[in-house]
Amino acid sequence: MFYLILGIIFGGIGSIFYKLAEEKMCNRLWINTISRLTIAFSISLYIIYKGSFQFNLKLLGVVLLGGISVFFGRWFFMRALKHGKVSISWIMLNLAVLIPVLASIFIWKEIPDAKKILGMCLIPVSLILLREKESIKCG
Amino acid sequence: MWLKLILPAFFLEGLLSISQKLIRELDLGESRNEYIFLYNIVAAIIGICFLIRTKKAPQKKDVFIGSIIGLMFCFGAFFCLQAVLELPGIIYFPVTSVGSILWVTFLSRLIWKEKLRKTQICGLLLACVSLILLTT
Repeated sequence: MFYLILGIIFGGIGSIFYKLAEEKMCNRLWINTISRLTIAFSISLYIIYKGSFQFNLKLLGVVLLGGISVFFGRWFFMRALKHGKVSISWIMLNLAVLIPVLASIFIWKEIPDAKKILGMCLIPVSLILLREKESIKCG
Repeated sequence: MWLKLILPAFFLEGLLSISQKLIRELDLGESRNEYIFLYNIVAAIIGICFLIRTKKAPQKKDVFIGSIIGLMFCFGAFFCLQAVLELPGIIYFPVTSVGSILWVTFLSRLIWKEKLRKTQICGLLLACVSLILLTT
């Protein structure tokens, strides 16, 4: 449980720093690129320590999908932080778990149980409730 | 404006989760470290391509905050990987997802005094319930 708490604490601080980057008017492209390079560098140390690098051609498509979606996803997320609360934006990002669940049902033909169906139905409702009020400019 | 920006972020985060699911579906579990390394390299290359076009030099704050974000997510992932080895999935997955959103909500309240509207508090509670239902 100790490791889990530490994992949550560090991950949460990471998202808070995205908001800080917006407040300090940092360059989103540099923030995104440097953070990705830092993660890649850190994991490369672990791969070197393990002593094996397993590359499979099937992996290529998956890493392209992952890389493109994480880069543009976090770029949109950072832009959204300029207009809304970090807490609500972070919840929205976490609710994206709905998409792989839907993919499991429609692509991999997995049959969801009643709990999952209820969870899926609640997500759109919570997305609507979480919506930030858009400021209306008058005049 | 916020909604126009957060919705693409939501869908793209979902695509990232699909790529993580593909690792299991394509039986690539042995290459998961290589997957994390390579998808971050792909993202960094995309960033570098844009940066070459814009020709903007980084400022100290960009390098500092960018590195902190990277390190925080790295440590977070490392500790979560340790936790997933120790704890059953029925505890690990709901606690991670719900804990993360509650922790960020707490920090944003503490640092920026962000207040949630009543409907947003209901949305937060519903989000917690739906995440628990989906991950157990």
